[in-house]
Amino acid sequence: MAQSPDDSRDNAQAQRRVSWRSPEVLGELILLGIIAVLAIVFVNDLTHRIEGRWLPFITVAIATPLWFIRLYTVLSRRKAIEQGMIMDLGFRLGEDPEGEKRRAALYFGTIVVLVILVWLIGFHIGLPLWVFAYLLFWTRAKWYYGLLAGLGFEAFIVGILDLTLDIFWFEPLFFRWIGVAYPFSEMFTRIF
Amino acid sequence: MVNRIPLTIGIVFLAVFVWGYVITVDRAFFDAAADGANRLFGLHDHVSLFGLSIPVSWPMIAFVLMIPIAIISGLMPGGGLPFLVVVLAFATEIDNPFIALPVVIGYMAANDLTEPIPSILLGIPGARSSQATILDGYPLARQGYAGYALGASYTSSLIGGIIGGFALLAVLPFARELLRHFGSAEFFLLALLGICAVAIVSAGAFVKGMLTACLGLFIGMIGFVNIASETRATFGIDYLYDGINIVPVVVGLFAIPEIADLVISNTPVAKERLSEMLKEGNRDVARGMREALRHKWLITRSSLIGVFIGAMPGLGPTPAHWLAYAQARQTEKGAVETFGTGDIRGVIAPESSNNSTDGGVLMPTLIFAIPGSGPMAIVLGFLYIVGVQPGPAMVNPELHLNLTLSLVYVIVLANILVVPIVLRFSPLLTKVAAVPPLVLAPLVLGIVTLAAFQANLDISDLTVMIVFAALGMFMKAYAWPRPPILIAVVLAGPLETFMSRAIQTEGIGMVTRIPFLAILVVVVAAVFFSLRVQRGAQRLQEQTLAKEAAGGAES
Repeated sequence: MAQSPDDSRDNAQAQRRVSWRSPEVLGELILLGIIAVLAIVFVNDLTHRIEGRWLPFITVAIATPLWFIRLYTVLSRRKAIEQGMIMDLGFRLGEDPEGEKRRAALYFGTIVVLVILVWLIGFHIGLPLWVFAYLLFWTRAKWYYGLLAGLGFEAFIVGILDLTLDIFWFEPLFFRWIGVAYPFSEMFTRIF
Repeated sequence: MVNRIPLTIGIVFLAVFVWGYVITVDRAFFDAAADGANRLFGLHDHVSLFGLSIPVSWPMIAFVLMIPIAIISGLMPGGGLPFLVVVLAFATEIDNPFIALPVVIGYMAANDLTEPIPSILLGIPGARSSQATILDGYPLARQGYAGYALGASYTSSLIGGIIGGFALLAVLPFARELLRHFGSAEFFLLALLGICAVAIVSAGAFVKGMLTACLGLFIGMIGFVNIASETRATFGIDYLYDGINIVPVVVGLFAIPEIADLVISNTPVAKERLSEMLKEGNRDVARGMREALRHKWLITRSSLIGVFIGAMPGLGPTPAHWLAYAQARQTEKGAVETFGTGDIRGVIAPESSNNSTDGGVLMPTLIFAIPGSGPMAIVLGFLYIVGVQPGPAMVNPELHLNLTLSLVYVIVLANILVVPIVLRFSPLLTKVAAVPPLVLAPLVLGIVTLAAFQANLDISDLTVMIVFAALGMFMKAYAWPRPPILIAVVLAGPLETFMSRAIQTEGIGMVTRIPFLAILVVVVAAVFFSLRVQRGAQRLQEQTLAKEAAGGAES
């Protein structure tokens, strides 16, 4: 059957070799590494009773040949074209790859900062502070918009989590260091 | 004139259904239907206000409170999935499944209804499934017929949603009869095939999909093993003894990468276009609604496509959208020339199928625990968390049939309530869709982080969230499908339990049971069919978009 120019271009793209250091190869190797580590852990940590061994064995048995097939595909370094991803899609990339990479790193960094902040000083202070700082420094919003968003989060935490659900808060690290009980734990009780 | 062949097939189907109903529907079914309605709408509780005792229905109050959240989050670029996770996380706090589950399903139904606003008014897909609507909806809006397109789109969505709800209702008695013949062996096979089916279909790449499912099974197997009364692969970490909590996994794998997509691409909507659409969004709405009603057969056909594709394992609304668009293009008079230039039928067909998939995707999810779409995989996990086991219990009048039937009411009700709201306020709501992604990101991130913590009140969940966010972003970047991980994590426990029971009771002889073989044949056939549909829809989507791009370049 005759190939259309589009088909031959796609095939050529799929056959193109990529560098060892390209993100495609390294990323796939890391993902395969994670699967391999988990498979080894499960094989080494089997339960004494046979009932607990069946599923790990079946999973490892299915994963092993597929793992080698994928490894071969990655090591042969053909650039894979994006296949029919219906339920899941890759990132939408535009025309500024450098800017996109910078934003991706910054984005992930801000999430890590958020978790550290929450761990250190708790949700009541950490989350509104982070939202305020994010809007101020990254999106260059006016300070009062940032403040409004931060206060909105404070209201959400107090209104929903404290006054409605009355949840139990963990002791943030900072308060443990200075030897003071987390003040927000006892401040509110369920009113609804 | 209606084509006689589909009409005959339709009549035969209807006759079979009526005959089946006469045999399978008994008094218990009607009692469950009445009980479901009573628990959902009944004013059983009282609140004191100014000394007065006012009767209330908490499921309805929760449902009504959820509607604005569903509408606004659906309009936020990329907001649907992260907010679904938030709603699920908070719904796990609700002890009553008659409040928790209708809120979640109602959220999803209402959320889908917002898709036409960004697609038609701004030319951007609210969700990626609404790309087909853009092809004709946006040209109509640019010609000054935004309100007309919205009116037609919402009327077809409303009818499609109701057809989807009734389709779910229609299959329940049959499913009940079918599930009576199933034992542990069949449920083990269903769980296994559910994971495999979604893995195969979701990626379009067998090896990647199956490897991801295996990764999910490994993660799901961590912790205490009930059937062996021992722990497994905990790395000596106390947190892992009870296994990994599902909510931070979902937030990390799905919500955070979706927000990342917005931040990384960062494409705000042009302000001129927005102000133009704000003026035109309310014009000619009634004419659009009448136009949709004139195309009742197109709506019915497209809705049935949506139900059918939705019921296939793992496909979801995107292929349904494109197939409905394609059948309209092929079957409607003169559509080949006019589609893509602003033909109202090009809006009606995909929008009817879009909402009818809600009923379709619930069929395999509730009845067989095989998720019909990506978000349904998350809902499936939620069902296990709130203690509702999908499968025979969902169609058993003595167990959860009343709950399943209440979901049918919720789907229908969500459509009836939300359509007038979005129609009335669509120009205003467009402003939400036009908020710059960078501004939205911290707000959504803040809420999903709270949700990740709130589900189990364990700060270690935030570490799990970060780990799975890194994994999710990695997988999204390298086009590894994420839904199979989640399904495997959720189904690992039931899979192991059913397998153990089946082996103990039946041994290897389980593979010779007739229901076992029947499931194998049906699911394998469904997967092959899904793959074909998926490829067809993909090709169609590429061709149509390429043609559009070429047309745009020429003009």
